[in-house]
Amino acid sequence: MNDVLKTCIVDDDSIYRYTMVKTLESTQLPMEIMTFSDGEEAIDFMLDNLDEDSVFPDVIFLDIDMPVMDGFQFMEEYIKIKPRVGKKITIYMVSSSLDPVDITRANNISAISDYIVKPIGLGKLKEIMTELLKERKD
Amino acid sequence: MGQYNNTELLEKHHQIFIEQTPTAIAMLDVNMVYLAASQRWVKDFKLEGEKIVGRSHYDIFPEIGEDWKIKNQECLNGAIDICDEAPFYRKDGTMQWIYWDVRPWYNMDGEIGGLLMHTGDITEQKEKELEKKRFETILNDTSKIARIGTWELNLSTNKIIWSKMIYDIHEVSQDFEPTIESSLEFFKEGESRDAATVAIQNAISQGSSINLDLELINAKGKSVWAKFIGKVEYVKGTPTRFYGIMQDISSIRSTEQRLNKAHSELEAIFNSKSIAVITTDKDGIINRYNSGAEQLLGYSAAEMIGKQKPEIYMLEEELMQFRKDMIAEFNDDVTDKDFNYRNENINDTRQWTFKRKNGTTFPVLSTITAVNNEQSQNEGFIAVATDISKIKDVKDKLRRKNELLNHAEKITMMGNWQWNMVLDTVVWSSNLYEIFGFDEENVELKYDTYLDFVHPDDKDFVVEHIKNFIASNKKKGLVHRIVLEDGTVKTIKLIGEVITNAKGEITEVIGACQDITESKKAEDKLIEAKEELEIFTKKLSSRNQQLADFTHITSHNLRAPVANLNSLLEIYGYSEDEEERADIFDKFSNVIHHLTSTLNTLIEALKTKVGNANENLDDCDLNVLLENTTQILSGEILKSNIVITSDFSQVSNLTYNKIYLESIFLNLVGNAIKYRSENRSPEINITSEIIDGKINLKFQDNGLGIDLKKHGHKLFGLNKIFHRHPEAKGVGLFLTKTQIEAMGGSISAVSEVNVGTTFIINFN
Repeated sequence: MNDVLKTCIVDDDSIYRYTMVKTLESTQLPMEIMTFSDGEEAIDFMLDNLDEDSVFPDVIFLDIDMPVMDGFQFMEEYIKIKPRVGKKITIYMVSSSLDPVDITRANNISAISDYIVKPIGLGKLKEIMTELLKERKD
Repeated sequence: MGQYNNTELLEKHHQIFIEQTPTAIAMLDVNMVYLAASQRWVKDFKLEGEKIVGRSHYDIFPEIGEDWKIKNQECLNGAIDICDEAPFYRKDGTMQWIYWDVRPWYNMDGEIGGLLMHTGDITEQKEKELEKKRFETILNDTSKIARIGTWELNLSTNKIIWSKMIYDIHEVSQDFEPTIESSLEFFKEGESRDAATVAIQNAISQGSSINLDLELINAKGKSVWAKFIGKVEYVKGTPTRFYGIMQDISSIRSTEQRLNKAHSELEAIFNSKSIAVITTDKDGIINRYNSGAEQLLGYSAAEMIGKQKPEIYMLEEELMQFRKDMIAEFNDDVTDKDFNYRNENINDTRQWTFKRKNGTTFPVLSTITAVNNEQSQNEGFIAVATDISKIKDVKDKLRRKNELLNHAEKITMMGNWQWNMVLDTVVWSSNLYEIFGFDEENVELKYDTYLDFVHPDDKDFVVEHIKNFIASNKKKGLVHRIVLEDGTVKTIKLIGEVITNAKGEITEVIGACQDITESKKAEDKLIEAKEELEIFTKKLSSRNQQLADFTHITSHNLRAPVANLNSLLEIYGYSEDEEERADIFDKFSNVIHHLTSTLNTLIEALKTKVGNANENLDDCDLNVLLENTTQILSGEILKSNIVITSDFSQVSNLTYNKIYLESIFLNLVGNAIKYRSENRSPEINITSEIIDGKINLKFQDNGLGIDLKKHGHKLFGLNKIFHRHPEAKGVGLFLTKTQIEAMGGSISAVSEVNVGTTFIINFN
């Protein structure tokens, strides 16, 4: 199971979630996909499984704009529990926003690997996933 | 006969005897007729050449008055009239001092035969006596004034006599009896007493006279300087008396000292290096020439004294002018050939130009005084001159500065004034007259002159301000209006300053006035423009904010569905499964529907922003409005069992865009229903009130509440939702805010999670 990439999508937009899942599946890379419709659902999942971090995702595609708990609020909570997480999690901030305020804010959080503007596209997604799988093998 | 002859002879003898008596004597009979008169009588009474014998005494002396006649008559009756001296006023106007002895003579029968008059002319003697008396009086007076006293030492008895003045000088009382020892005691110990002691010894032993100035310490302890002059009198070769005078010369001495001081002061002035003192003699030749003159003129004293005239350093034309002026000053009759101005009491101070030895010239202020002798003959001149080139420079600078100030005042439309509070005199600068349109030739200026110009509406506060500013002694500015004589109104800025003397008393107030009529107008315009600009800026920045919001909205709310469409299109492209394709197509329709609705919302918002919301104003009754809202929402209200209460007692009607207000009510009441808490029976309370003069509308519910710390920043954003509510679209509050802002108001919210939310609308 080690070579399977646990991929997590956090977004309130069901269409987006649908397209992401479809696109990821089309890459035919070994992965397990889980989705949450807002930050709070995602963080709750992590808090519930703190003792069993093997179920934690390897990579998270995190939306900014979400009801209840948005992407940044999620990051605040995640950073709190991060020391207790044994696993390395790669987080991508994903948004349709081109607002420089959002981009700068995301780049200032070290736990975030990159800021990606929607739509991601199959090519880019495949590249990211392949790279992550390669890292894991090394 | 013989007897007769004898008698005749006897009378003849008497007659001869009387005539030849060397004194003035006359013999008269009982009828006062002359029987005989001595030659001396004739001479004394200036009767030479006149026949006397046989004539009546009263014929000869018609000047004899009744009083004398009576006395003569008494003598004829046996009285004797003797007088030592009496004035005898003669008919020719002269006066004689005479003495007389008038007595009757008796004939052989013992009867009174007439009068025997013996007189003497003592006029000369009398005059001498009077002269002596006068002289003594003068001497006495002089002695008193000159404080001269006399003293005498009787060398045989050693007794000393002082005159009153000496007592005065010693300040001892008249009963003081001086002795040699006690008088020596008064001399100041040391030099003076020693000198006096030696002088007395020498006078007694050798008869030498003295003339000494000695210091005394008188009975009151005062130091007195006195001059002693004394000599010794000899009788048959032995000195008997040592006598003389003593003069109090203290004041003379102090005068002398003062004179010495004045002299040395004069010397100091004369030796001054900064003042030139030059004197000339009667021929105009320089006879004194001090070092100050040497410095100023460059000629040495040796070159000048006794050799040159002042013409060498003076300008010919100035000398001519001086002579002309002096002639004009002292001589009314210019044609008088004998007139010489040099002999007048010239004392003239004026500016001269002096020429140095090296030919350069410089300005001086010189006082020229004529030195005249008692006969008013000129004996020369004294000139005292100081170099005023520096003063002149300063004066020139000052004049230039004043000119500059005048220019500056003209350019800046300013004027200045000085008010002497002690004399209540005021001086205005010429431009101040200009500003006030006041004739400079006009009346004497007073403090009130200024006030008379002050605009009647401003007068009270101007007077008050000046009073305060003088009392507080602080520089303060004031703007007020003035009314010119022609009715023009000007705005003046007044700044004053208080000048105090050494005691801190206010003596003068000085100040400046500026005509700011034009700048005041400009300022008013500027303020108006600024206010307009501020309103415009406010509008603009609100537009900018709205534009920024729109960019954000575009970015978030249009890009998201477009991104979805792209992703769906991509999947659709490589999907081979028909079922999946149909599924994807379904999603397309979803996204397009969402996109259309977002676009519609934005168009609605744009209409609100761009259109003039204030054009469609209606009178809105809040109660009616709420009723309409509850009718529209009746289904939801019924389902939720929400209790709606309201209090519009403070404000029941509102002039507003009715469509907006309906939309606002619908959204806020709708939200309260949508986000009600399942744990409470839902309530919403709507109230209107006036806060700070502005109408506020409050919608308070007991619903779910929002964590404003987390979501406050996007509460009113488009498509922002905070609850996992199927109906949450994030449009209502966005539109509500847009509408309220379009009308110039604002909306805010306070909320607590699980307690409720209150929206507050502030209608501006």
